[in-house]
Amino acid sequence: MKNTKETSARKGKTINTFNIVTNIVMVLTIISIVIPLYFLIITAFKTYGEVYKVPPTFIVENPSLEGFELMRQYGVDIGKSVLNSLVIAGGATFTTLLFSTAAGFAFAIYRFKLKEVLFMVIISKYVIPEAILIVPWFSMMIQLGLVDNLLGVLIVNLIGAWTIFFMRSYIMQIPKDYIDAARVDGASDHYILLRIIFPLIKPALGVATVMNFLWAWNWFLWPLILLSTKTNFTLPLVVSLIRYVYGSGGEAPPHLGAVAASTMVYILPVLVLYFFAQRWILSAFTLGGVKR
Amino acid sequence: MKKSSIIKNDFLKSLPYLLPPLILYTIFYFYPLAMNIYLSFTRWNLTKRPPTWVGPENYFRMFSDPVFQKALLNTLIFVVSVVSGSLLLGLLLAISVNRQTKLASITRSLMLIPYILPDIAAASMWLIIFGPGPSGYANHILSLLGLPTYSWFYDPNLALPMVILYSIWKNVGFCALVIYAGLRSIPKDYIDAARVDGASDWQIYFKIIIPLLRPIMIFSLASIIMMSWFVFSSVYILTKGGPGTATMMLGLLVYLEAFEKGRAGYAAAIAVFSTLLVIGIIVLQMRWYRGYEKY
Repeated sequence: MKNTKETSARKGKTINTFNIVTNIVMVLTIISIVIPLYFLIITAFKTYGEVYKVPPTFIVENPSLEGFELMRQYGVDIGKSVLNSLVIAGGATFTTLLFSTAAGFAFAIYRFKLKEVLFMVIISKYVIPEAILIVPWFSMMIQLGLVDNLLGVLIVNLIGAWTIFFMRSYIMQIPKDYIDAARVDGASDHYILLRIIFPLIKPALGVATVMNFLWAWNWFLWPLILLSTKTNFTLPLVVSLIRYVYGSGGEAPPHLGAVAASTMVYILPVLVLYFFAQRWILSAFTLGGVKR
Repeated sequence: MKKSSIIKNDFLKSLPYLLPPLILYTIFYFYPLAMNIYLSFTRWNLTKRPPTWVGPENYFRMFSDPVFQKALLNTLIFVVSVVSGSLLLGLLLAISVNRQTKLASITRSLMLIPYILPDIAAASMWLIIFGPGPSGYANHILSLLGLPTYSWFYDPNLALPMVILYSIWKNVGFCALVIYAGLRSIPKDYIDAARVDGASDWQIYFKIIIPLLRPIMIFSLASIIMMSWFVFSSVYILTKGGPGTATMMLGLLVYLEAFEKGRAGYAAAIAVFSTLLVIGIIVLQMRWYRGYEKY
């Protein structure tokens, strides 16, 4: 009897520390996400003088568009860069979805020798890092005359291993009866893919669209290597350009206001997408985590 | 006899769907992979002039190159710290948000933001907060608290820990989400039974839930090792390997050697070596996981 009492008393106490610790963790997490966003926004509207003012201002004293103005002075057309980024991310997302859905469909419904081997070969791309491809890619682009060309950025990224894997898993979950019934009725495979499978996998297509767009929006290394004309720059290249332009003879520190301004333009679509498609993004990650 | 004819038939039917990826993969992944191995035995300066064969010279040179050694060491420190940091903090965060409170649901919906932000953007945000002088936000807050100030990414001793801290911050939400999904999949009976026996919340986590999560933790481990081994974008923006070589990493070195110094053959050799090394590490880690599974 005494024993039970003791345990329950101890339990009450431990639950309290559990609650306190977990609440502190959550509050710190939220702070670590919201505060950087706040500093980014205020810095984007500061002048060079205010950015390096001591002590720093936590509310902008003289809101200005100097940071945005500076981009133009550096020869960057921010509108054109937004467009470049959209073309790259949109193009890569579209082709990846098209090719990967078709491939996922084939891997899910057909049976042939060495299918598993072929699948593993395709999935193995997942472990080939970009670092081992950039030098050969550049050499290929010299041959193709695509150096400093947006098409050259896009052409190496037309398909993704994750998307094939994801679409295949999703299509495999569709009951075989649907497909068999259509086959008995004499439907062609194209018809089955377009009229039967396609409507059923719309949620998966949504998830894959959002994920591929975010990945392509993030690309930095390969565009950095290939693109050199400022009007061809995608948004991350604009940010990195401004970060590494120094004032008077490389002595003065970079204009963090301009860095913040370009960063803000760069992340705005990501945040909008995140808030509208959050459920899809979360399901993409949890599916990847649980299934494999 | 009949079965094999069906199999053949299906292969032909699948070709139109599989041909585009196979062609693209061959041209843009498998051929370049082979070409990179060839280039690693050459000297080439990224011009139209063809590479000259030099044998294994690049590989010999690598091991006597102090910058490469530093990059290798930094990468190992970086990966070990980021992996263990994001997994442990991710576990803590996953446990924290695994509740029915309002705070937990707000945290769940925000915690993935650092992970989905592009690296260049997230790193710029850190650069802005951790400005080096007294005008930096972080320094100002420290000085208000009466603490010493730092030059953060410009401090040779602090730059690598800062890059590590940044990466943990960037990845922790992803780990937390994957682990949280695992937590939700654990049968409630296990937890109820333990609770009936008088186990505390901490005991339930440490004695029951965490051991059950091992497979998911190990899966996340493999994906963060892959992600962080060739870290590039964030280091490029935060420090570009500096000050000196304090934050030089293998992925950054490949880029700098090839595209800023024009030593593409040497860069190719570094890429081959680093890729083989990380694949080796992941294979070992999988073995270790299988060992656990048997156990």
